[in-house]
Amino acid sequence: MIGKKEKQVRKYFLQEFGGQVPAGKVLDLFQNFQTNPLGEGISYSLFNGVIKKLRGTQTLAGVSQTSRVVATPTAPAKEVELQIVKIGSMEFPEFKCFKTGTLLDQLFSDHEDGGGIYGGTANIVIGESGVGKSTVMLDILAKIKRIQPEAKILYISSEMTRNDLFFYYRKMPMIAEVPTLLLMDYIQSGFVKAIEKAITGEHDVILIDSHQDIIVKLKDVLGWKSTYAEAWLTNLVIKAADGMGKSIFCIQHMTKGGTYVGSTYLKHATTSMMEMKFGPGNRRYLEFTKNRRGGSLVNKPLFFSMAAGEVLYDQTSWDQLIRAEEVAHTEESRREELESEFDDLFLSAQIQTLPVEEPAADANKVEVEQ
Amino acid sequence: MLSQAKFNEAKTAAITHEPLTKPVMLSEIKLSDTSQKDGFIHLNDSKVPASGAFFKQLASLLNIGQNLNSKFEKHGDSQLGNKLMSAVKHYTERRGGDVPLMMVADRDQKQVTGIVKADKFARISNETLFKTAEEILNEVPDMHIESIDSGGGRSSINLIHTSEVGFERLGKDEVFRFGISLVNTPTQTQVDDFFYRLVCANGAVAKDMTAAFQLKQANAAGIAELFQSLKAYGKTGFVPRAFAERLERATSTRASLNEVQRAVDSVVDNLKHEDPEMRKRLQEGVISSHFPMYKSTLARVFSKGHNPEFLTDKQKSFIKTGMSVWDLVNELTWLGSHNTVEEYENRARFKATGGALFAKSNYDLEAAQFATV
Repeated sequence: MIGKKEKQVRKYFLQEFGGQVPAGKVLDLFQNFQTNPLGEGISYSLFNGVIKKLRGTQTLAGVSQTSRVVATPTAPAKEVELQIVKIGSMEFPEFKCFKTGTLLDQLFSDHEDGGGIYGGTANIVIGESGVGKSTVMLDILAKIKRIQPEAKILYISSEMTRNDLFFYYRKMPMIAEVPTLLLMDYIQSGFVKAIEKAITGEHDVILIDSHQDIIVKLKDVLGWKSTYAEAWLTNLVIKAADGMGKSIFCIQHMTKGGTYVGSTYLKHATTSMMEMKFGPGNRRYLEFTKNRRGGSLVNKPLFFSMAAGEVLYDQTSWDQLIRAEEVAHTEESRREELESEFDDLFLSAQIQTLPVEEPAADANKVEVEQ
Repeated sequence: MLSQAKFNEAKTAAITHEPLTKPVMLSEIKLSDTSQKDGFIHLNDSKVPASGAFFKQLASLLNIGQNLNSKFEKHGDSQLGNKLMSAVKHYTERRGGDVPLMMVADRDQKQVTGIVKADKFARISNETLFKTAEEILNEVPDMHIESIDSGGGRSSINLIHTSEVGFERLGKDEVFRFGISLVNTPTQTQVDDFFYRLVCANGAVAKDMTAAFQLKQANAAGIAELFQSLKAYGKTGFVPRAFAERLERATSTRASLNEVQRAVDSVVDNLKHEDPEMRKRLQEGVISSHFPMYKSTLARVFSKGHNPEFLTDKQKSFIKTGMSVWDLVNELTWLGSHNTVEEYENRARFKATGGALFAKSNYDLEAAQFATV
């Protein structure tokens, strides 16, 4: 007996492919299926099971030889046309640059005078629980809106409810103007569509809080495999950033030992990785461990705290750090000078060189002056 | 206080005489069995004069016992030379020669004078040291240069804050002035803190120095830590954070017989008098008038059947006296700053003794109450 959901899947294949299962990975098929209204409420495992049945039936009954042949891994892959273009001839989008008006802008980018958050970037924000990831990121969105009211910002929260947000709002009244999408509203229906629409919609700067939680929900609620869910969401983020020029921030989690939790694919594909940590005296700081737009300020801690409802960055300790960098650079040159003088004084050709075995002369009479 | 001209003069001298440094691998240092005796090493086929201190530090790096080192110093035998040679060989072979070191040389004496493991070399240049001092002076208007000491590859810039700081527990007559010293040894940069104790406003009478910060690495992170530490000092008016706590401990801890005896010895040994009989009488007088508790404690020890002369320092450190550590510091300070009937070789020395006692990391009887738990 065929269940209601299986019928839905079979109907989909009938409508879209004339009742045949096309070639390709099941994951890709499932992704397409999800975009169809029939895909609503169908888990990946059920979908996969139906495909197995359909393919088996087709094979055994010899219903569709074509279908069986195309599904064979040895079948010739679809023709791919390589597009090799000179970098100078590439078409680049018009990069927008968003500013928070804080010291953080400099860390985001050293390509722009005064820094800023470039469009066309996918960024990961990680940090242990309670360090202030959501707080700092919401503050960033609110500050962008304050400086550039025309900027289209969006906060996508998969974890928080309205009630949770109330307490953030009470702590930081400035986030009042941050447009927010609560994914929990779509958990019963339209979850995937809502994510897709929000990420690829009209917004320029999007904060996803959190990437990992969305994957967990896709897995637990919709029955997706986590690897598939991860790849799907990451592809969506990259598409929005690289293809649509958006600036996407994905909050990610860390283990208690401070290790990044998430796919290596996302880690490598992103423009930057910002880490938030507890420093000496439990002072919080953030630093970029990777940044393709601001390489010169990677691995430099910027301390922050909350005051008067907003995040304040410690300019003094930052200036000190930059000064220390300059001094360290000068010190390096000085050490080179001292080494060079050492060589000139002791190791130059004018100093008499003697074999080790030879009796040494009186130390006080050695002439090393040049 | 030092003038700007003197400061600049000292700065130029410190930069000019800055110790030379060279990173080397252990395997690059070639020794013969007479290297130490002759005062030479071979480096990159050149014969380089080396001081006794250099060989001593090399021996210590190679875990060669202090005894052998001392033996060489006294008798100059070749045992250490051989041992050094084989140790270098052993280290080089075992670790593939991969022991990065930093060699330090005195450009004026034209010899290498020290060697440390590369990761233990944590020193900023003298120029940066002086610039850092200048920045502190610019940022903290109440800070002044007290003095600059230099010599032996060492530079020390002593900065003092003009504020006089009092502590309730000690009463209104007791005030202190605090300062820091930016110190460069040939291999290490550190910040020492010190204080002057002003008694009855009659001038500086006690000074002590302790290492408050040591640079761990001469890279950006280490230098940032140095700046951070100086900033933290500035916030507290250069009063060491632990000072009040130390004061509390000094006033509430009884001085041990060992601590009192050391103080007494430092004073009576400093008495100036040729006649032994007179000297003895003066010593007794000083003890009676300034350290009466010393006498009474000795009497108590005798009455319990022990002869103090046969007690070790460790044993004496368990015996309490009737005075607190602070009382003892006070007594030394007073003697160091007042003219008394008896004459001393160098009474100013008592201030340092008092300061050193006060700055001890732990007083002998600090945890005495736990003995009965």
